[in-house]
Amino acid sequence: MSEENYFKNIYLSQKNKLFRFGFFFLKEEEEAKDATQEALIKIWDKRADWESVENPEAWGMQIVKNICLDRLRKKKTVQKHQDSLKLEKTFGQDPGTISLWQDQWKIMQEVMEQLSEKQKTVFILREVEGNSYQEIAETLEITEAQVKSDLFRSRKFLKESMQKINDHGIRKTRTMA
Amino acid sequence: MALEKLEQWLEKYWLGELSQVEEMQFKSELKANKDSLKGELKQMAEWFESHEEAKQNLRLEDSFDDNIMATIQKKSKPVDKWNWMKVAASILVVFALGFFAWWMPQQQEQKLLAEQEEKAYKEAKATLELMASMMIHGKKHLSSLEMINTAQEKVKNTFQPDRKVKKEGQDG
Repeated sequence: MSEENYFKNIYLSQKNKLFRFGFFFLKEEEEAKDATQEALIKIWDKRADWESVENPEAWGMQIVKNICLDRLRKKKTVQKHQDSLKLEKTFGQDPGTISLWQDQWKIMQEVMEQLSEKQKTVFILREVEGNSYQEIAETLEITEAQVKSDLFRSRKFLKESMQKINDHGIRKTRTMA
Repeated sequence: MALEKLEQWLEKYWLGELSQVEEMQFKSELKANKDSLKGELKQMAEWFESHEEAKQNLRLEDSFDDNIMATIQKKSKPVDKWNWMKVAASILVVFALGFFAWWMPQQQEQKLLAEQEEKAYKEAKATLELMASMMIHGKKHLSSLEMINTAQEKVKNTFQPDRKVKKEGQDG
């Protein structure tokens, strides 16, 4: 198999997963798209290392994660805690879908703000991507016990955020829609 | 699916104790029964639903693949390597020419010097030969002169007594 075909089948096929992962970190579609592109080009540039990569998916995620963290560091002052999103492009014009997503986005942001970068990664990989503990452990080069511990912590925050929203009736967008 | 079972799964979910299969079943049951659920379970159903929506909608368009492939093809074009080789070859040629420009006159100078030394040697040799020849001729001339000198002396001695007598006669 040529290098280009291998790249297409193994790495480029992960583009949406990498993009989503970037999106939850960077909170902007265009930024996440750029980060995904940067990650894939970096993967191509490092093709001499492909043979030694045991888990290409985990490797791809690590690269995109590092790029996202770099980008976040560079634009610390800009939209660090962006609450609202321009979701029309992604979720179409259906107000029901948008409001549902905006409610959940708020919950997610509340949870994410309380987590470390590693815990955020665990949270996204499990909650959004549905990866197994083993896959997450391999991606982050940590033990499964650490994954479970991080997940337990993030779900604790998730539960608290959901309770807070219920108690204070913050879910306005849903009712307004 | 009994509500109790969902409640149990929810508790296990919060504690992170659901296996991957159980978690998938839990999500699937919540999705199927979303409209009849209330409270926390309803909230969880919406939470999972939003993630599913995100997964379906947060996608890159097909043109993204084309752009990436065009970029990597451009990056791996042999032309780039060839250009680098051309640059390297040009530098090498310039260095080689510079070296020859410096080296050639030096070589010629040395050659000229070597040729001159040989010429000088030949000249010196010829001069010495000439001198030797002249000295040999000189020796011959010297012998002739010596012979003349001897002859002169003989003649002088032969006629000298007659002159002495004559002179004594004139004086007397």
